[in-house]
Amino acid sequence: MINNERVSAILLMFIAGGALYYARSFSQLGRDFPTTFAVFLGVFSFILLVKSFVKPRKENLFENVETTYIVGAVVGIGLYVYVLPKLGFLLASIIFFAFFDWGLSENKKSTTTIGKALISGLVLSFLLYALFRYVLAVSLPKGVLG
Amino acid sequence: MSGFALAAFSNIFQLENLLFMFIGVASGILIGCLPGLTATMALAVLVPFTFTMDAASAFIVLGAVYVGAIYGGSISAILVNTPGTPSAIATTFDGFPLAKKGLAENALVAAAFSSGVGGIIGNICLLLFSPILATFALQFGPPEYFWLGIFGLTIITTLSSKSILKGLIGGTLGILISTVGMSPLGGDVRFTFGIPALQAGIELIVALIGFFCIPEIFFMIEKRTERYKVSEYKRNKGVVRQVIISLIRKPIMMVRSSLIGTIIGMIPAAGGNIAGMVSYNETVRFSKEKDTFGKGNIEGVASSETSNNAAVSGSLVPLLTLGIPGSPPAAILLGALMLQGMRPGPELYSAHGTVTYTFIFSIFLSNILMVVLGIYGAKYYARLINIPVNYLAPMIVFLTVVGSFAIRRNMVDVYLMVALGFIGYLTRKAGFHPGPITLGLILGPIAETGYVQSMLISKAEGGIFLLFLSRPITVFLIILSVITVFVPLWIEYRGRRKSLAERDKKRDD
Repeated sequence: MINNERVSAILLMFIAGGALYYARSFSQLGRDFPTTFAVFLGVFSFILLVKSFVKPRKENLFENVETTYIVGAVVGIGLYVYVLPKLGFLLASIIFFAFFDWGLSENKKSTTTIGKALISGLVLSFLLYALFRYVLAVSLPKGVLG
Repeated sequence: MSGFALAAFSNIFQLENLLFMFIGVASGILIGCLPGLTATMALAVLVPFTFTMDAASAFIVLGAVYVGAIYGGSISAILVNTPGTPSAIATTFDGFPLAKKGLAENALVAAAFSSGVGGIIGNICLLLFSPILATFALQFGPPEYFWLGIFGLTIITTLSSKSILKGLIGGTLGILISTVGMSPLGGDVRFTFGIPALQAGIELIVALIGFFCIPEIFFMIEKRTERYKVSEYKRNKGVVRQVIISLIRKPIMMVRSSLIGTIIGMIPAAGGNIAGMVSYNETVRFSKEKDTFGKGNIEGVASSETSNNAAVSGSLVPLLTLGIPGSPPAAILLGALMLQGMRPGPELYSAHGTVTYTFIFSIFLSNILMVVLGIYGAKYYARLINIPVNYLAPMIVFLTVVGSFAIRRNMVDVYLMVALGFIGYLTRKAGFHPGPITLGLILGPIAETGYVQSMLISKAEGGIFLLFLSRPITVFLIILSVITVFVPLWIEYRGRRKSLAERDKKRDD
């Protein structure tokens, strides 16, 4: 268990300090506003830090949460946006949807689950692709398929 | 206004726009009734897709989704005891007990009808008051805009977070994030870390999608195994008529709830959830049958739903006139206005009058459409409440990714959206509400431009403090900002002292 308020306060004080440090190189017109609010952020974060010592609250933010699924989703989304410009929307989405669907299923080893994930990945990705491309005329990342 | 009104109606009654309205209300109800999906999320995901539409159509569909989603929350509130959107929290108090008694249809009809009434009364208030307030905004100069930004921020930080300190931190962090990119005056390139795409700043909609949509995906995954037990019901002849007549016979309750909703909706950050709760409390207070509330009193459902839908139009009053969103969904609509090149204020009622009145009148009609779809379609919507997370989560990821890419056709926006989404999830876990952060992002540029211009003006007027203190509106806004921060702190301090005194007294006894 960690004291989340303490960690947040220290992190935020670093952000405020970083902003103050970088703002030194700006002209006065560009500097005054971010500097003022960086100072406010620093002061409020310092108060939070003091509060975390006066009234320490240790809690596990991920209590009763299956963190494997959350980490899996973070990695999945991260990889999806990474390969998106390389593979293009359609291909990347088919793979992403199939993996996401399979990853969130209960019975992962079952061939039915894998088959269903693949089919739903294909069908829904094609449907959304058609909707975005031809109905809503929205630009999509192109990738290898153009 | 009459010229704009005619043009607005001719816009709305185009077949294409009527279709957009229908799709908007129908999909809004669906999103609203799914627990975990909110009106804010629906609008955030939708805004980039309206970018290619003409402004009138874009606002028709956005208004329709907003209206539909706020009502949609009542369906799951009544049938599964879980509000689909935060606005429907008070609807559960009597909605679910009614469903348990086998009167689900009565509750659903009451919710749909009263939502429509509240929405329409709120809309009339929007139509009457917003042009007046917009004219008043003509008196605002840079110092007033700076303090308006600060006031907006103080009110959201104190209202939307459980902890005022965390709200203030969120707000200042949001303001700091808003300074990324080129400064409004002076031309400095700030906090871009050498990434050229950041020179234009962080696109507001991209940040809003990140903060409001991506965290919801993770929260959905956390609850992925949860299944809701939907109360079954059969439609009975005559219920619609009977419920509507019984509500028409309660005009004071309906009007009071509508006005509460509209006024609370106008307060930045107060939104539909607070409106629903306050209105519910007032209905209980004025009722002669206080004991029946919480056990399935139809007035409980009606007061909450009347009020939260009235808050929709209420939240648009400060948005359209001053650029201060009255609720998180209204913040998204501000992003939509900016994307369409429209600036809130008097210009919306003159240069962009046709689009603005199209938007306002379309909300009126969306409310009527929502009543019909709500009364006759709730049963079918209820069947979709348990859509598996396996499908819902990746679909939302697609929409957020495509939406954030579509605005500037730029992958950096997508990376930024995802990064802000991850940060948003962690900050929410740590107790920092996204409301103050996003409002800081929205109000940052308004406040900064006001501040820097005030600084320049003050050089000729004897200093910035003299400039601020010599203008009545600025002084009024300063006082309001101070009250907004210190009154809740004072109340908290008094409460703590009182409970300590009581504890000591008990110990002495």
